[in-house]
Amino acid sequence: MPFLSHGSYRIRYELDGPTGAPAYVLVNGLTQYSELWSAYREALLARRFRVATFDLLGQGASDKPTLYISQDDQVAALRLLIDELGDGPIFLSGISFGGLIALRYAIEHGKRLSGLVPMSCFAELSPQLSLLGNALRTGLILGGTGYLQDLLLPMNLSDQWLKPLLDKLDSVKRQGWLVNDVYALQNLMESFLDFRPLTPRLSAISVPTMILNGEFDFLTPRALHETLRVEIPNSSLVIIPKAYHAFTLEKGALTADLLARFAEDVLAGRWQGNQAVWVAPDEPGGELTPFPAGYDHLRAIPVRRARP
Amino acid sequence: MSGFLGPLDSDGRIPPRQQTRIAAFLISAHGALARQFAFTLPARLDAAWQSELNAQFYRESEIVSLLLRATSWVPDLSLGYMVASWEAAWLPAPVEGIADPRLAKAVHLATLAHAVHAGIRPAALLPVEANTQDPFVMALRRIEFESGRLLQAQILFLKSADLAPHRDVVSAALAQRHAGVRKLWRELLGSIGIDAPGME
Repeated sequence: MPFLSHGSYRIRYELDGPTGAPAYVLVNGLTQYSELWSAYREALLARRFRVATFDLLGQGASDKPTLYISQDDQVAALRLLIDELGDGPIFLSGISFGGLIALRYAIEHGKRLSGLVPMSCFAELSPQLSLLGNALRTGLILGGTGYLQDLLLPMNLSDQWLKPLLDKLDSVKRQGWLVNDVYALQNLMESFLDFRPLTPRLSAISVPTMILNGEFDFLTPRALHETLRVEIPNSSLVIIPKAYHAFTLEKGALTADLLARFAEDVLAGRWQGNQAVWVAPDEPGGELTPFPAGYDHLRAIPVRRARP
Repeated sequence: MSGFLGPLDSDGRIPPRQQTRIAAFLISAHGALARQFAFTLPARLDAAWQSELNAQFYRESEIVSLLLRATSWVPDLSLGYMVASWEAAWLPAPVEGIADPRLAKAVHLATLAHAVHAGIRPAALLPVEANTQDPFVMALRRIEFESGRLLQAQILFLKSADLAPHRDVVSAALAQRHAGVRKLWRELLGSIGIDAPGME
């Protein structure tokens, strides 16, 4: 199990794939751990990418600072990992909290990237997200990691995914409960106490950017992704049909395929962001379709977009 | 070595020798906290926050009482010197960089409590097959759950405005306390065949 050193902290990472190949770096969500990317590792390795994953500070097998975790330190840890990858093309993707860290990296060190894929992501805390975050933190404090998982599972995953697992949810939750500690998750959540919106800085991201958002994402709804689409010049927004916030867990094969295709398009010079809005296919390999012209992609019902 | 307690008996219970050592360690740690909270708790409260001291004292005492009754104890001659080394570790340690002795004492107690409540996760040692109706299994789960709640008082204090000028000192003292407590915990687990994280 290799580790990077950031000051007195150790960051556990995993790196596979041929040296010199284009690399994907995948950044965990707040309650996750790097093994959750295993299916992506296999899928992307099969497409001849290198794949790097790691546990953020406070997660899994990385060190868990006892009282404070700074988001600056998370970005620094990510930078250390990317520095390990040499000079080949780097594609960076992260989900939710990990997407935020990826955005910050892209703002500060974007020249090192060939492409960026924020997923279920946000650049600012809307009133809803801020209140939900506080409520989830209170849930963690009062009920522990298990209760936080109980809140997040139905919020972030579909009935189709949950239904066959209803009588074995304890086993679904167990690994996350084992490797993540209450105080460390709390420190990660409290790293938002002095959070400043990234929105004014998003225009500094010049790399090709594919923004992925689940159709039914309740925690970080469309409007938060719209901010990214509007502010990042070379971006496009791809809506994942019938998906919730944690679509990387639920639709791993489709998401890995989208990641690979994005990188392949960028490397082949085919990528055009144009701040377009797309609808992803239901299955891997399917065609992306443009969001119907004239309709408002921020609405859940077919409402024609207001003319400017 | 395994990362979990066991092998379990046919009824899904933890081996008594493992129960004895785990319980002895937890009683030593939480007992020390109970004593130190008791000495800190004034006979008459004169500030609202002191009600938390009262709660902490009784919760720690409850953990000790629970373990005394829920554990299947067996004689263990090695416990004598082990308990002596644990008890020595819980003694108040000077916090370098904080001149006010009352504040330093409070930081000592809060860092020790944080390290015990956050760093020791006894329920995470339970294998999936452990009998949920067994009192020792239930005790470990309850202790871990209560520790998560008790921890909040330490977090609030250690991150409070009063200690903001001493942030680096407090963080260093807390990290040191965590390292010390985890070392003892790992050694204990190693003595009963448990391969705890961070033992490499």
